[in-house]
Formats: sequence, structure tokens, C-alpha cells
Amino acid sequence: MPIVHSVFQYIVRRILWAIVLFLTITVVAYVIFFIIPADPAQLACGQRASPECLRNATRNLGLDKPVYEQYGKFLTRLVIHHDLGKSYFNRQSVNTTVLNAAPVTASLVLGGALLWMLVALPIGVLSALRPRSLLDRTSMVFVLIGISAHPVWIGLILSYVVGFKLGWTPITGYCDFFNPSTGCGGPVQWAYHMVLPWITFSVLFAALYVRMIRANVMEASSEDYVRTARAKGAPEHVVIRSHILRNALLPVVTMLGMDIGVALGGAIFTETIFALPGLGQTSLSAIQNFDLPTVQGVVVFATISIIVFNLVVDLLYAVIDPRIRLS
Amino acid sequence: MAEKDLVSSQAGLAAAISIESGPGLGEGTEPVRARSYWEQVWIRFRRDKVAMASGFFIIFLVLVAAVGGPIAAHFLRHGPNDIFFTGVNDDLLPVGPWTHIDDTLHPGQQTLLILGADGTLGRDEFLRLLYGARVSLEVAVLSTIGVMTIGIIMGVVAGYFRGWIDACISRIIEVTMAFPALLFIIALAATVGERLNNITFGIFGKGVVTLVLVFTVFGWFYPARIVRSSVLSLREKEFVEAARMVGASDMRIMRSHVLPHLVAPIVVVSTLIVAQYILAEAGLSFLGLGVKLPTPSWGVLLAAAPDFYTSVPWLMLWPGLAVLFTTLAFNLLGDGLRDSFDPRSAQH
Repeated sequence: MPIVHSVFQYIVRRILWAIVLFLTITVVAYVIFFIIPADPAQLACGQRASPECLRNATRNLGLDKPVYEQYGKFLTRLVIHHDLGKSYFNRQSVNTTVLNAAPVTASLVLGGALLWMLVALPIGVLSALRPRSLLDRTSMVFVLIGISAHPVWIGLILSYVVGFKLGWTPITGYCDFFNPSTGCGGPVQWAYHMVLPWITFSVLFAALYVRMIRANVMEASSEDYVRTARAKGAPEHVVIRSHILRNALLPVVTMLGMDIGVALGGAIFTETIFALPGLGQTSLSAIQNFDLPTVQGVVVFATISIIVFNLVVDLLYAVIDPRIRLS
Repeated sequence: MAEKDLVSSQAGLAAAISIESGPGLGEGTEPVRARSYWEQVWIRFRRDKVAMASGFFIIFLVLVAAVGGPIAAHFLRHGPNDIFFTGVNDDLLPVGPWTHIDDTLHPGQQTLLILGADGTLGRDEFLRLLYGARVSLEVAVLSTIGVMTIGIIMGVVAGYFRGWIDACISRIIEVTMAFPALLFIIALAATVGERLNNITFGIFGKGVVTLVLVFTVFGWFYPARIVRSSVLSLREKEFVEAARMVGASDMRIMRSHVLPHLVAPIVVVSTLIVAQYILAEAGLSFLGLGVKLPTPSWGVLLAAAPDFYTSVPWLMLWPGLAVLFTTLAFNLLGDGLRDSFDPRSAQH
């Protein structure tokens, strides 16, 4: 069956390209860290390091081997044992660190994505269907402000006004969904602590998506097939749902996949302001401590999530849009 | 025939029509002059009040950044990095706006802190805001220049020559796009930045060059893609074919025939990219990885704000508003320019 064959070819090509991307990105991460002036053995041994300690640390951390050998070891360990190694800084397993931080970032990003789509979809569609109305003009003003204000600033202002002055939400901290710890836990507390971070994270994306959805819907509304459908007497809600929206929202799916994939690499600013122990914070402190394995771990996780989401979105696109399948 | 004349002759037709259908034959003694391409762009731009206002604001901002800081420092008789222990009150909190304090640089006299102090070191927030404007704009504009230069060259080469060159460059663009950019920008700034921070060429602040280089490395793909798709469609046009028939070299065609048509999207994309890099610089400096203390920039000022946000909350207001208005102005200018370059926008 020719269609299945071409889809199979498409998948194989995408997977091969994904592998190339993965190798390139991890190599670049390695290269960056080998230009640094600091010596991890020195950092591991502390201030008054004896030459003995330095020698041992260098051997244990594998620093005396050439770069490509270290990279080869890292790669084999990752692919075969699924092990990201141990941190230079505190000898903790990087797997544990990343797997602890990932759910925090995931709750921020996925919750934020849901919020921004819930806001952007109706506003974008309605603005496009009623151009130049009050709703349209107001939403355009909010879009402009949304893309011009820094997420850091929005987060600070929100946490000051809503958290500190009004006391409606907590200011910082993260509560685990499943395992209640000393301070708090459980779904309600989790959501309560995440409200401000979700809002801060989604403002910029909501603005971008309102603009994009509006432009797409306006473009789709002026297409010939919409005019034909109306001429044939289709009720307006059918025209909107089956003709305009179905075509206008296709590119939005691609962008959504890409944005979520990228954001999973660490919504660094939001996490910093609200002290969420996610991948962003982890990578920031790891970079400042010149802790290569942890940084590599976060990079690997981020790269894999970007690649996976792009792949899923491409396949979804091929399923939804017959033109892609048959081309 | 120069492109300018070609457009003018089309405008000449419109002029002829307007004469025939105008107020009356023979009335109006001045000859109807055809408008050039840039003149039409300017007329459309002038009609857009919001874009004009943004343009004026940006000009004002550039003036403030260039000379406002030194002038204010001259009148206030202190600089943005001067530390005043008198700028901190008894609770070790920075003093509020419009406070007169004892001037430690000129004993026996007082000086004015217009927006108060910036933190426990008692530096002048107002002056730091003004000097910070210069640093933030420097980073944004230089990054934009770097990104656009590389992006245009790569885009034009990829779009014009196609074939394996295009395939190569497109792959490089795809790989650059797949990087978790923020992560790598931070990594580069923190590691390589250590060495680059001291390069100032005598005029820039510490850390400016690092940021510009780092942004350029990860940002050039954006204009490259836009330019490439424009060039791909432009190279099929008749005037390119005609130029090739006449024997023009590839360089000449790219430079004199293709590039002029790219001016519109380049200008629009540049303003939008400047807005983006103002935000990016603020973010990186907030994390402590961009411009280094004591050089002020809006991001650096924002970074100091959280320490005092329960007690002196307006410290986070000034730099945030400055970033907001500047970015807003560049975004509005970009939108206005896009509408000015599009002849069909006059119909809306």
C-alpha cells in the first residue's frame, strides 16, 4: 500500500534526523563546557586541595581522558544503561535530580499551556470573526502589552500585588501533587501554589497565540471555499466549525507542540521568581557550579522532549491533513 | 532602468487618471509629480498616528540614552555608580524618590536622588535608569545588527543558489532552531562569558560584548528563514532572468536586484527583533548572567528589586516600565512600518 509505505518512509526519515539533532546538541553542550576555565576536580576537592586529592578526583571523574573519549563514554552509558552519570558537584545521580525536577516543570508548562489555549482560542477566534469591533481592538491592545512586558516583571508585580498585598495566593514554593511533604501537599495545595506561576508563564504565550489565531482565522475566512459554503446555504456555525476553524487551527497545533517541547527545557524565569524546584532552577545552579553532568542531563531531557513533541506534532499533522499524507 | 523609474512610471499612470477625473481640466497650475516608492511609504507611515508616536518615543529614548545620562550626571554632580551610604536610611533600606541626602563626594553639600536609591549601596536609581537605557539599547541594537547581517547573508545565499548550498544552510538553520536556546545562551554566557566580559573596546559596559555574541550565535536563523523564503520567490522573477541574460554576475544580481526588494521585510523584522532583544537582555541580566555589576542596565536594576519588594516595591516599577514602554514602542513601530510598506494596507 503506497500510502503506508510513504508514511513509514516519512517516520524513518524524521527519526534519523532526530538522532542527528540529538548528537549535535549534546556534542555542542560538551564543547561549551570544555572551554570553561574552571577545573571540576578542583571544585570537587575544595579550597585547600592536596595534589593527591586532585589526582584522584581527576581519575575518578574521568577528566584525564581526551574529550572525545569522555563523550563516547557518556553516550554509551546513556544509550545502554539509561544513566546520566553523577554530578561533579555533589556526586548525586543525575537521573534522580532530573526526574525530581521534571514533574515540577511539567506541571508548570502543561498547566500553563492549558491556560493560555483556553484564553487564546476564544479571544482569537472571536476577534477574527468580528474584526474592528470593541472586543477586537481591546484584545489587540492586550496582545501588544502581553508581548512587550517581561515575564519576570509580570511575575514580580503579580506576586507582589496578589500574593503579598492582597494575600490571595502564596508567593513562592512548590507543593507536590502526590506526596505530601512537611509543608504542604495534595492536589489542592499544588494548584494553589501554581496559580500565579501559571498566569505569569502563560501571558506571553497567550498574547502570541491570540495574534496568530486571529491572523489565521481571518485568512481562512477570506478563502474561496468559505464563500462557496455560505453561497450553498450552510448555517454560519457549520461554516465556522467545519471550514474556517478546521483549516485555521492546523498551524496552531504545530506551534503548540514546538512551544511545549521547548518550554519543557526549563521555564527558567518563572521558576526563579516563584522558587519552583524545576529543571530551570536545576540547570541554572548547575551551570553556575560548572557541573557538566547535571547540565548535560537537563540538556538531554530538554532535547528529547523537543524532538519527541516535534515528532508527535508532525505525525498528528500528517494524520489530520490529508494533503501532507498524499504529497 | 532603475527600479525607482519603473515605479514612478506606474505612479505616472495614476497621476494621469487623476488629472482627467480631477477638479477640472486646466485648473491647478502645478505639474503633477509622480511619487517615488519611499515617498509613498513615508506618506502611509505619516498617516499612522500610533507608529509616528512610537517613532518619536524611540528618537527621544535614543537621545536620552546618548546624552541624557551625562547631562543629568553633570547637573546632579554624581555618577550612576557612585555609592552613597547616606542613601540608605536607618532600617538599611534605600531611600524613596525625591530625597535630598548629604553628598559624600562634596562634603558639606546636599544632592538629590530623584528616584531614590537603588539598594543597600545607595546608588542613584534615576541615573542608573538613564545609563541603563544606553546599555540596554546598545545590547539590543548591536545584537540585531549582528543577527540581521549573518541572517541576510545566509538567507540570500541559500535562497539564490539553492541546490546543495540551500540544503546545507537549511539543515544548519533547523539544527540551530532545535537547540533549547535559553539553556545554551545561559551556558555560553556563564562559561565563555567569563573570558569575554572584560572586552569593552573602551566604550561598552562589561558584559555587553558577551551578550551580543551569544545572542547572535543563537538568533541568526530567524531572519535567515524569512530572507530565504523571500529570495526563493524573487529569483524566479523576470528581472532576475533579464539581468542574467544581460550577463550580470551572481554577486551583482544579489546585491543590486534582489536585495532592494528585501529592504521592507528587513526593516520590519529588525524593529521587532530589537524589541525581542531588549526583553532578552533584561532577562539574562536579571539572572545575573548578562551585563555585570556595577554597569547598570534595565535587567540589572530589575534583578535588585526582589530583595526589597516587601519594603520598597517601586524599585521594580521603574525598570519594568522602562522595558515595557521601549518594547511596546519598537513593536508598534514595527507593525506601523509593516503597514506602510504594504500598498494594500491603504484600503483598510
